Amino acid sequence: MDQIVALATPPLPGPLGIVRLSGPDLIASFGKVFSPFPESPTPRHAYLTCIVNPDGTPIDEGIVLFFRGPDSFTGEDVLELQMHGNLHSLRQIQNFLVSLGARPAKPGEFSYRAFLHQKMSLLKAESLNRMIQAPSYQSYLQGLNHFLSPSADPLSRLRDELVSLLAHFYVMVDHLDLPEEESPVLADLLSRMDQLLLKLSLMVRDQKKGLKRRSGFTVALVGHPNSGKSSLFNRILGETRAIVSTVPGTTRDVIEGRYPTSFGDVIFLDTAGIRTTDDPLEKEGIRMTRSLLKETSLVVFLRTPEDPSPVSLVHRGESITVLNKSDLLSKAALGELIGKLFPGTSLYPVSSRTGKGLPDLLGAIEERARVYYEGNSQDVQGGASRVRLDLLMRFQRSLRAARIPLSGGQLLESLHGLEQVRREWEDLFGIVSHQEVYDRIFSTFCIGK
Amino acid sequence: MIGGRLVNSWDVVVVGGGHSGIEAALAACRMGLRTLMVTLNIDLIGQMSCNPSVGGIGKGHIVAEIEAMGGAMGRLADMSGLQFRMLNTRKGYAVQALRVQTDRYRYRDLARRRLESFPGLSLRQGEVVGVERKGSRVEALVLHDETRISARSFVLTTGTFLSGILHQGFSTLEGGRAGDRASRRLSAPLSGELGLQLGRLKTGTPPRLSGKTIDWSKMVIQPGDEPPSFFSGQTRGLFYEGGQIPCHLTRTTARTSEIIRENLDRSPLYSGKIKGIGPRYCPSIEDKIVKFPDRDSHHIFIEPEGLGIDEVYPNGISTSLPVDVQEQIVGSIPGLERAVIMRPGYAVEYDFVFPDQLDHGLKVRHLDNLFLAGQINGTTGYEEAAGQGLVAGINAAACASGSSPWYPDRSLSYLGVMVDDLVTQSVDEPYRMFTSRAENRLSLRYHNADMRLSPVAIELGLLGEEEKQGFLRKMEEFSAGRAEVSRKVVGGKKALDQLRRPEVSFDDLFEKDLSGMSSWPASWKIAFESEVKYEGYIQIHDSRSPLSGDTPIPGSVLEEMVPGISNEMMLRLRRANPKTFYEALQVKGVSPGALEALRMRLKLQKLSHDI
Ligand SMILES: Cc1cc2nc3c(=O)[nH]c(=O)nc-3n(C[C@H](O)[C@H](O)[C@H](O)COP(=O)(O)OP(=O)(O)OC[C@H]3O[C@@H](n4cnc5c(N)ncnc54)[C@H](O)[C@@H]3O)c2cc1C
Ligand SMILES: Nc1nc2c(ncn2[C@@H]2O[C@H](COP(=O)(O)OP(=O)(O)O)[C@@H](O)[C@H]2O)c(=O)[nH]1
Repeated sequence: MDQIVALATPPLPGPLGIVRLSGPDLIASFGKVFSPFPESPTPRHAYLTCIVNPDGTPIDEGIVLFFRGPDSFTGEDVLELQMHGNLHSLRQIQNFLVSLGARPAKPGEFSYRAFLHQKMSLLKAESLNRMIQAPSYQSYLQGLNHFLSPSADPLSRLRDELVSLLAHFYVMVDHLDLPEEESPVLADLLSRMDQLLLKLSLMVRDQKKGLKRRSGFTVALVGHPNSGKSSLFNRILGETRAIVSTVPGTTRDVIEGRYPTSFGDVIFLDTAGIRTTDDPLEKEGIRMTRSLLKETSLVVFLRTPEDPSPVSLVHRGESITVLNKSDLLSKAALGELIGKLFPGTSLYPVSSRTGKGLPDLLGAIEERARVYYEGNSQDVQGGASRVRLDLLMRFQRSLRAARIPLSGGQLLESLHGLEQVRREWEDLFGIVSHQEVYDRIFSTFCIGK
Repeated sequence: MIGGRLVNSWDVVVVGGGHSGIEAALAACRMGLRTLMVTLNIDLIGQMSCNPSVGGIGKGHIVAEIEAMGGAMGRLADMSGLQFRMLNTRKGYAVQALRVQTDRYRYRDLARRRLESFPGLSLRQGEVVGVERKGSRVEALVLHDETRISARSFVLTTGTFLSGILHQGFSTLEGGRAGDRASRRLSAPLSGELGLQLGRLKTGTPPRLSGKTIDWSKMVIQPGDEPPSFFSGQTRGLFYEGGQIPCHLTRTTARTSEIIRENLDRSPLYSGKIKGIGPRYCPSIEDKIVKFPDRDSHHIFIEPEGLGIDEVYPNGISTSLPVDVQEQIVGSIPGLERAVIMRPGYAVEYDFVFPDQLDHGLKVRHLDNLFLAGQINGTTGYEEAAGQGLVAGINAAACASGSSPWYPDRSLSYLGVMVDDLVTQSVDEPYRMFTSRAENRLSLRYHNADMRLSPVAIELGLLGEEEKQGFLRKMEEFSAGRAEVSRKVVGGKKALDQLRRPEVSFDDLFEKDLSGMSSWPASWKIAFESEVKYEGYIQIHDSRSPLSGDTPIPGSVLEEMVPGISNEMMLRLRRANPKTFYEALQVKGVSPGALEALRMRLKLQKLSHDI
């Protein structure tokens, strides 16, 4: 395993910026960059020190913490450098560490190492990720709960049922010494399998539902090209923009930005412009936007005095219409236009250039976000994620396949299928040991003559 | 020369004349090596310490494998059998297995005669009390009478005897089992001189009763199969005139539970006096009452101990309670109200060697020529002991003659499952075989044991000429039969396809046609039919193998500790440095368990990248 380095705080100016290193023999490789710093630092001791260039000039002063593997997050040596949150100095520190042999970490690599060194199960790592990405405090709490006690995760409880199901099969094939009235029969196995399948299909359904609103309350900005979508997006998120990421997979990347409110994040999506056209390529773009809209909570349609026609797109979900570039018209002309074009509808005249009208618009959006988060505070059990959905569906498929022979009385063929399921689950949960299944058998049945 | 006597020198020396020692000695001797068996009491070779029966689910599978490799257990059980029952007949062919009630006296007698019939095999009564080691080799064993016995390789099969202590209430007695003295002095050199790590286990046995004092009318009779099937294809019938001897079924009562609860304070198990861990699947009656207080009754099977022998074995009331309590317990059971106890039940605590110190040939890893087999490795049961004896005997012989070891494959045999479980996972309670332990259950069938293992046995030289020819003939008939069935059409449909259906049996195909195949022995028909029936699943199993062979193994994976792969396996993998999972499969001496762990590790890596 090599040594990896990454910035643990967002790349934004702030009081603190944390750089983390993980890997073997960190002190030998990097101890020399700190001054002063002991040759063998005490683990978990906070050292106030400078990080210095080879020529002795300081890069920054900060707190350095050392965790000796395996007693660390990743299970390897970890160094945590709490420096000042200046992007340039932080970049310089990272480059410096890389020049000494560290490799920039891939996304999620610290958790991955924790998983490899058995500090965390995959399930736990996944909860951690969900926790960090949670769009609201409610769903954060849920992630935290599963992170702190993985057995609370409904997925672990399913595992429990798998163990139980296996135990029943094993008792049936291996323990003929049970009195007849206690030994499970085919019908018991069938009904257990069906219960598990039912539970699974409910979980799959919830996951699918949950995935749609996975990222919380989403708002898509839709309008003709040049209607000012990007400008509005930047205006709203300008100072507060926390994370801006590009989500690949559409003809034009969708830009995503989070606007935090007290109820939860509002996630704005800036989409490709929509124009009335016969161009097949652009039609494709429209199609993509439309499918994106299915998954958004709210659509904001932008119109402008320059081209007040609506986009040719039918949307049945919730929407708001704004008239952007309202600064182009005088107050009177604006009133006239609105009266002419949008009689009786609620319309938000705004200007992304001057910021006029924005508070009203944001107020309206926030109100909808509040309703959304309060209504959805009972989030999907266990939270939703692609990984979970995939696993559940795989499990469901294999379990269904295992059930087929059982309904024809072919016990062993069905058990064989069930053991395939077990393998698939082991990929997520770790080995389901024979010992564990037998512990279940002994706690359920009075085995042995 | 020691003490003026000539040194006693052999190719292979087997210590112990239990079920494990018998197979070990026979295997070594059949492989052409001069073999000596040393045991505490020659009269008690092949003694059944506990119940008078051989086989059962999982255990019977092992016996079939021993039989397929020319071992003794199957035939000894056949030739001393009083009752034969094929178990699990309604649950699918792969979990069927034979169980035989035996005449324990005859079994013992036949075992000894069988050993004596081999010119290359000698017996010696005595107690091994010391070992001589030079570097990583064991040079010689020392007996209580100071005889020094040297050999090229050694197999230890001391069963329940190592520092054995018998418990009955609070009275304790040194002993290997009732009536036998313990092997008291050997534990120390094993842990000292040989550096083996020992642990302590316990097991128990019920009181034996006098049959003539039992009221049989209050019990349910349990007859054997008619006609009986046998472990060996060479067995022709019962060893005596007349029918099979039945077992009888009765149950404990509420009164039994009461008696036990009232006397728990006198139980060495519950007072903490017994420290060794017992087998959960052979619990004592006191265990059953304490752990399942809601159950008002537990089964008891009364099994015959021998033909014309009055003594019987009540299976289900193993106990270490004091004798007066045992009397009360027996008296509380329907049919046993007036039953006389001939030998009280007891528990035995004994030393065992943690088996993760062994390799897949059951050789002690850090020594060149010492093998361990049987209960000394933390297992329980005659069949498990015998199976290991066979493996250790083969490898001790290979070691003595300088040929390469044989590691039974977990995907091909229960022997392989057992050995792999023992050496990779060790034990924390006595190990017993179950079909649930074999992930390849559908292929490891009682009825195809010979097809799986006789070819290996032939290669190793374990089969006599006659057995070998018999097996080859069977294989020829099978492939001819296969060709015939492939051509056959019944009712306008392909016979082979029909046979795949669960409800169609072999005999259904041959209803109207009395060709050669229809007169096959029943066991052949089952073997043939089950092969066809499971084919589809076994193929699916292979093709669905959840990790494709060309999955790359990043170099870094081999540098870390992969959970579930022992250091030794890891070293082998590192040396071979496989680049793909397929290459890893080819590396010699890497256990299937380790490959499974590697497979998991690679899959986890893939998965976590997808998060
Ligand atoms: C009280 C009791 C209860 C049991 N209960 C069960 C049960 O419930 N279920 C079950 O499956 N199995 C049970 N068994 C276990 C079963 O008997 C054993 O698993 C099986 O016999 C083990 O075979 P083995 O060959 O390893 O050892 P054993 O059959 O014990 O044979 C050991 C042999 O080694 C010889 N020996 C030992 N030490 C020396 C020495 N120093 N020098 C020379 N020879 C030596 C002995 O003379 C003996 O011949 C029980 C056994 C006992 C004693
Ligand atoms: N006057 C005025 N111009 C604007 C306003 N919003 C955007 N624009 C201008 O309109 C043009 C297109 O804006 P842009 O945000 O790129 O539109 P998009 O293609 O919808 O993303 C740019 O030149 C902007 O400066 C506004 O509120 N008032």
